[in-house]
Amino acid sequence: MLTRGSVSLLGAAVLAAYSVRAIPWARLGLRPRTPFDASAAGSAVASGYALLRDAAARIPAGASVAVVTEPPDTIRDGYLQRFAVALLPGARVRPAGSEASDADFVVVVGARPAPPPGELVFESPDGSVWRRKTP
Amino acid sequence: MSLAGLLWLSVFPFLALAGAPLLAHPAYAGIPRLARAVLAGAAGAALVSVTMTILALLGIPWSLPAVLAAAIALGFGMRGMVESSGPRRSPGSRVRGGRLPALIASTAVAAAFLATAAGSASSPDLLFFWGAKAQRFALARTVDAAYLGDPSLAYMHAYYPPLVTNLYALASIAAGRISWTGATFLFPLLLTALAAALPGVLRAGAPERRTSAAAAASALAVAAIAVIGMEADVGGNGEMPLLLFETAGIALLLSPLTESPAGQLLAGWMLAGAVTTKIEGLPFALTAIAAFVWIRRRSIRFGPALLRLGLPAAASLLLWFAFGARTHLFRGYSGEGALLAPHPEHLGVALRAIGSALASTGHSLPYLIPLVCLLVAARRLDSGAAIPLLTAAGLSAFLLFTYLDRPGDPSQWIAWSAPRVFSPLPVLFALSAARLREDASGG
Repeated sequence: MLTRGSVSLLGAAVLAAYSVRAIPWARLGLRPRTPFDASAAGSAVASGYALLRDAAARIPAGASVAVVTEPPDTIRDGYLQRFAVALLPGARVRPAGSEASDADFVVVVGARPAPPPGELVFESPDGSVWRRKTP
Repeated sequence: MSLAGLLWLSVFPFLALAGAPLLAHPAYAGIPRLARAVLAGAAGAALVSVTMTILALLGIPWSLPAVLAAAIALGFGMRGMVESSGPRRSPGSRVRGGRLPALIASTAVAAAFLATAAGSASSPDLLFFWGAKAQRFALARTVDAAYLGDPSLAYMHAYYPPLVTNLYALASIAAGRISWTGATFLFPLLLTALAAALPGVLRAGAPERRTSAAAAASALAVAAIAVIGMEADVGGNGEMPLLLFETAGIALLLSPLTESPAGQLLAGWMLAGAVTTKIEGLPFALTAIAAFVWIRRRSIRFGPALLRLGLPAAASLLLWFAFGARTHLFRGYSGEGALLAPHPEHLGVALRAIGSALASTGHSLPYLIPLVCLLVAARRLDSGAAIPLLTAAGLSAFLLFTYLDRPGDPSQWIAWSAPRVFSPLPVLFALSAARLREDASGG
């Protein structure tokens, strides 16, 4: 005969076992680069986060910033613009899809653009930051 | 995690200071000490948030000491509303058969910690709006109406309830900046708090025959939340705080404590926390309160009970809407389509998308297993089980209506939101399954 709660306990045990199975064991020994390294949102989020976080110290407060992807991806541009609003709180982040040419800085997530959109400020495997004019 | 992250997180235990005056009242002596501490933290979080909303409404800048002092004063005010009578029965020091459920719950909590540490449970919504807004509010030392009114930031939903952004802003003021990583760790930390408190809340004042079922139900609810949180990436967003408030609120409504005014007031503050955390907290609270007063109508005084259960949530929400009206930002919640103009032609698509979204989250196990546990226990449940079940029905109806209440195909929206917004259901199923009748077999 089932005791009180024994079915729930069995269900809890199955779910706890599943939670252990869902741990990304291969990544546990590694220090994550970003909080999104292994999330379902994937590497696209992690690389955008890492680049914008690293760019924050190099972009002066009050500067206008445009964030674009290379190769161009308008959907991803939209997400990255929102990331930039969060990760560059002192900057004036241009709305996604707006003209990047009159921004003080251009953050390019992905490959180095050609031709260069300005003077290279910073580059990482995640992308590059360019100064278009002195803010 | 960095020192700044630890500093950011260290603010959250201090929220219990605001809830402590209420929870230290002898009327709550029937709740085990650890559960009382967690409930003090949850009530404190709701009190601190409403305090911050009041300060924003009055144009008074936020500071950590001022907010905490005002919230503690509010907590003493709430204590003054508690009558001396109430369940004073001390909790049993030992829970029969509590070790195995605790071990199972601890395993799930540990898994949630490890997944968060590996960066696999973080929500992009933390960056999109929760954290971005909080960071700005911390810099402005108030709810920044100009920021919320910026048309390019319309995706941040100015009207969205304020508790998470208020508390994140307070932590950011204390730490000097927001900690994105720290925020993601609130998922396993609040899950730990829930795992520690839930068995105690469910067994508070309850007959001893219920303690083992309560412990099992707690473990089931915690394990289901752990899997959903890890699979649907809730780290840093509003889901885990919402689940903490909702679960604690329902657990209190199921407890004999809520036969007393003190228990009703405490449950009211838990539901106030839910209502001010996410929009779906409102239909949850409304259905839970309605179900409670209907099921318990013979053992409670209807009017006063309704007031104690509903006033904290109503006052908290009305203060937020008053802020929206004063700043001309919003007058209530906004939908994406014309309100009350649903598109029933999308019903089939929506149901299929919901099924698909839930099936892709832990192979649907965190939803199905609690449902199966409920079905197994269905014929032996007492009337109290109707409280979480009616709440589940009300929440499901609201979510389905919301998905249909906009003109376009809701499939994409459902795909990324349904696993999270339906996450209270398995908790409600688990808590229902613990409500076995006195004459039910097993022991």
